[in-house]
Amino acid sequence: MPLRIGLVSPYPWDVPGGVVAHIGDLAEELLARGHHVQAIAPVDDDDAPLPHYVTRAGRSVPIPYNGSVSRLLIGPVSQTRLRRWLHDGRFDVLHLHSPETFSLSLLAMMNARGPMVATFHASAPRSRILLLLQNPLQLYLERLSGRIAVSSAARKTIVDHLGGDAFVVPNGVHVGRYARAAPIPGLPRPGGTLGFVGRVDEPRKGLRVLFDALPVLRKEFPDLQVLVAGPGSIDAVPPGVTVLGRVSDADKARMLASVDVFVAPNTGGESFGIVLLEAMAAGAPIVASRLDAFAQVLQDGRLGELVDVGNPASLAAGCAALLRSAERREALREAGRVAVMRYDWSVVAGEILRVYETAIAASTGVVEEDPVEIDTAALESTIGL
Amino acid sequence: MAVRLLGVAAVLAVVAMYCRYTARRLDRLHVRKDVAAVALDGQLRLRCEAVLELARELRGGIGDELRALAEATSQVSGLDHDREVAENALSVALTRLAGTRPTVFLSPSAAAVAVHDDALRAAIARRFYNDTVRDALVVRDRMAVRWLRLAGHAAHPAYFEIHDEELPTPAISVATRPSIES
Repeated sequence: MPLRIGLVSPYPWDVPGGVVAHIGDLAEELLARGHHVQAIAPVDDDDAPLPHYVTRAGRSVPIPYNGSVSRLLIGPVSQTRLRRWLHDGRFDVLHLHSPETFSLSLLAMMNARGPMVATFHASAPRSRILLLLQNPLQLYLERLSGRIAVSSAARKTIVDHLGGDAFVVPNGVHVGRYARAAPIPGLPRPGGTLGFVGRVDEPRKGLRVLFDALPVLRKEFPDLQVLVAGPGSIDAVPPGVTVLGRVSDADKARMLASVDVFVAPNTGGESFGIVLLEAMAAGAPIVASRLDAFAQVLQDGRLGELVDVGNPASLAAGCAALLRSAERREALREAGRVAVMRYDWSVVAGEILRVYETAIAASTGVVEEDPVEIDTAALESTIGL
Repeated sequence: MAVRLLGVAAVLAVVAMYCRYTARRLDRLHVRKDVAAVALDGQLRLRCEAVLELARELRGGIGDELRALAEATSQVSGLDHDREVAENALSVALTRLAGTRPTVFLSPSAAAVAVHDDALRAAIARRFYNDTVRDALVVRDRMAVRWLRLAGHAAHPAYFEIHDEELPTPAISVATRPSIES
């Protein structure tokens, strides 16, 4: 039986990001299965084109959170739009994303009753703000029928900071789109090509570490080239490195299908590692930092080479080991292609639907607006906006 | 004197408001736990039935063992310790089946698909139920709540702990999936 599903995004729909991409993919997968899906999100640009299922909640406000700036939203206008959306949607289940942030998701959790689930995307080893908010948040977290964590690292953050537990459903990837991507003409080439995906000016993505590893690698592989895909600007680009800038998903897939080794030198802040799954789906052998989330996706090194975090020498050694051995690369490609099927949206959406059905069984009634409206002005002054 | 009386009255009013508010919150939490318990119980029953169905098609000792365990489990009701022991034995047996004969789940019959599905749903329902227990206990364990007996006669909530089996998911062919490219 088709469900009426409401999805709430904490981040602006028109600013590219992992959580928004996840919500969009999930919405499309659920729509393709015949469910009724509506999403609500902040939208910064009034002229931004939106998918038919997205409702605008207003503009977002930048807030520093978890080491970077989050564009979140809160306020009386968004509350009015949110409550109307809840009322008109008549949802069987409401799915909030990252409700622990000061965002539309938190506002939705405060304004709705009935079957509600939330996905926690973040993993923070120790978040002072979350610990501080544990008590006031608890009152509202009690409304959730259930919680989803995207990885065991994200689940641990919930257990440590908020108490309670969460069911782990990993992020999804459209394996077929990546598996079908054709390599860029002229690649792979004999000298070897490395690939990097991510914001070039975000230190935690670790492009710097890769650049520092290049001189070592060049001694053994003088013709080595590096393809870098991602937004942002850098001043000094070493020789042999091509910065492609922001690319479409289709071009990202082609890039991943073209490289000999995909490098993920991230130094932190990753709760999942969707980019590793995309690389696996496209058939790229992987060298990645030994972050908890990455080690889990790569099954402790069975599906890719794990190297020391922030260590150029270790990164160079990991890349060299793969560049030297075509057999090892082929073995990783094969293992990755099989393992990544567990993360295909066909599997992941099925699990999320089971979570919805369980939430509906474990709650009474349908989603409706809470009679009590939140005093958003008081809330804003409390958090010091 | 009048000021002192007013002060006492104000303190009593605040205490009364706290009691009323907390008692209501506890009531909500207990209802939520009870509904989640019904959902968990129902899902465990479905898993049990699915295992019985699968046991019928399995040859050898494991089929007999699963049937015996599922029949024993279906005799236990409630979410108490006995149920935990019975359901846990069933989970452990399913995990062993997945280990020794993975093909049962990798190229599954309709019955094996049902076991996989119901086991996953039971694991989700268990997580959700335990969350409701935990939320109720957080409030119940407050000193003021215990002293003032704000929880009333509601039974003390208990976690339901069993081993979650990990059954292999059959590989899906990318080619046969419905495409949802825009």
